[in-house]
Amino acid sequence: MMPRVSSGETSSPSAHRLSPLSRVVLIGCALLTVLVAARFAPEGDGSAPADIAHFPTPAGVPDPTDLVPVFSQSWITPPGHTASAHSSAICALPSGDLLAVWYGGSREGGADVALFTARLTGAAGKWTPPVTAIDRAMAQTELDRAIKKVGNAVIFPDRTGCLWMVYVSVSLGGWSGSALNVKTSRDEGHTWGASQRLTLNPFFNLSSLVRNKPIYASDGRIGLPVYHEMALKFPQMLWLTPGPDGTVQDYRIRNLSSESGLIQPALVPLDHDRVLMMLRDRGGDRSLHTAYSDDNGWTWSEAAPSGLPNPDAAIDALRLRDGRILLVYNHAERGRENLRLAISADQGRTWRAGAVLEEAAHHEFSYPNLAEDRRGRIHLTYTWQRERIKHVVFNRAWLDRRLLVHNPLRP
Amino acid sequence: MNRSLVPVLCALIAFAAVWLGLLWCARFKPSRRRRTGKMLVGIAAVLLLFVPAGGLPLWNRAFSFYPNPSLPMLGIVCAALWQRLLGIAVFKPADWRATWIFGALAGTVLYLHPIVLGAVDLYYWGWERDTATWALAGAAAVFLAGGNRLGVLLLAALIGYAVNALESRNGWDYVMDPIYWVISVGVLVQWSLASVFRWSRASIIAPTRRRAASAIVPSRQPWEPKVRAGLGPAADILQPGPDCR
Repeated sequence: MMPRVSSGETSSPSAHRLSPLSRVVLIGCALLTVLVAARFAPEGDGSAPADIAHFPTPAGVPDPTDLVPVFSQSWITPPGHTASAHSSAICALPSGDLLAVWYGGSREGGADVALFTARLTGAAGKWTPPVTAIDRAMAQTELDRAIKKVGNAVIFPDRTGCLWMVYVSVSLGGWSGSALNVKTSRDEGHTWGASQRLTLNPFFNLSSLVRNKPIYASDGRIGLPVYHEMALKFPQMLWLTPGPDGTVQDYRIRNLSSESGLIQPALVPLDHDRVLMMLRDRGGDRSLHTAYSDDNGWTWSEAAPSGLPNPDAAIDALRLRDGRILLVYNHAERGRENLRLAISADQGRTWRAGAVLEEAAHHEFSYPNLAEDRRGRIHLTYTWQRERIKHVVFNRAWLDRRLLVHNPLRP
Repeated sequence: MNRSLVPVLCALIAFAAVWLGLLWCARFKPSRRRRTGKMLVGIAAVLLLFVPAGGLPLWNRAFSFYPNPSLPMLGIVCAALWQRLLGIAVFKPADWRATWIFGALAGTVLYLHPIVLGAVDLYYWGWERDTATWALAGAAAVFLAGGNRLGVLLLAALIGYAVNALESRNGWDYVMDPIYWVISVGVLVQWSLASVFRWSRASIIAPTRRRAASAIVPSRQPWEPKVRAGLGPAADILQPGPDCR
């Protein structure tokens, strides 16, 4: 009769342990694995970037020919394209074209929502009709899993000319159950490779979202500001190391401020390894917050109120070629009924009021996104009434003319 | 590792888990008997995983929400299935104890530390390849040196991490996942409750009955959980029967 092994009552505990020989062999296997893993480990960098590259537009290079004020506005989405359109992002492509991305469908979070792109070429001077970049069914196929909806996306080029799209998808629940995916394009967004899922959270990989454009380390790494929304809300930095052929060679995520309620970070590279972060406030302060990094975005100070209001709405900021910082935001503690510009000449410490781009009661103007083209013109896209995506272009001459010199915003 | 193999790996884990669950539900004892019945249950598990739900088979749904099953979780399911199918106890009680305690402690630290230690980000260190590799190897070596089979599971996690077997690039995801954590915490809670029952019986009920001296106290009260030393809520699934080998 064989002994019972469930309770260990009929034999000593040592008899149930691994034999000494097995222990030695298995520990040897562990050491061998460590050695092999060290030999063939993919390259990754866990240190702070040595420098930030001002890419794709060089900083501090004023354009002397751009002295005449320029301002124009247009629609990116054609009338009636989709019932709902939201969360646009824009980027300047290496060729000089501009590419915008947004999501649209019957309603936010609907199963029919897709990510669309449109292109503004210098020659045509108008936006091309929207093209579907990815929808729920495509994401489901490419990612080999159930996808309930797709959402926020950003697009940006890397130093090799490869265009990246990082977008949100949800398999379960609402936006706080999001995960991030990467697509890349070798032809400036005409065609896209398959989606790659990023695992950024230990708990079922839930709640990683993206909204704003990245910063670029001089060693090739891309620092993308992302955020977490489930239970605690806080910003994060996703450091991507591009691999060959548009792949993600390595990535890692760093949690930032422990103060809850600050999301959708927008980054502005400053001088001398300094980076400014501006944050949407989902907490009770209803105040736009700022934080600084003195090591190129690796570690950050605690976020502090900037003095500007924030009605729990996305913002974006851009460093101009003359070193000033341009901010676009909703100047209110409640509602998104206006969209306004502000300028800072002292690295975000004080702000001067700029033009009011939109203002109407019971309307929504939100989710602005900024990009600068080769000529130094500033392009702004934003959600108009959750129905369409609007595009505004202006230059620094226009910006300075509309600057309200005697109306500093800082209290 | 080829990324396209990751869903296949997850499908296998789902298959093993469903097979094990069905065997348990059907009250198949851990033994070598009734092989045909167990095989039929296995076929039923395969069929169940391919039932379409919302346009996707069930196994794909499981992968959608649980894309990074840890290697210890895979080992637990396989060991339990082996035990249930053939009656061979791969893991001994001390191994199970170590597995559940490790899962509860490591998972609690990994998942809950941001609430307590907001400024500390332990998950980040899982991105540091050298740190994660040496930590996994060290943990595996400690348990292996003690002769505990949890070390084998940790060694599997280390090897899986070395070959990027999962979708995640974070070393901690190879050794811990939320389901392993929840089961481990559940086992510990059940142990605690069982201890309380044992203590209450020994210190309150038994003396009272001895004083009454009018009845024979059964060895296990009806309200007590059915727990044996070293096992937990998964005990009913995992316990070997009398004819275990």
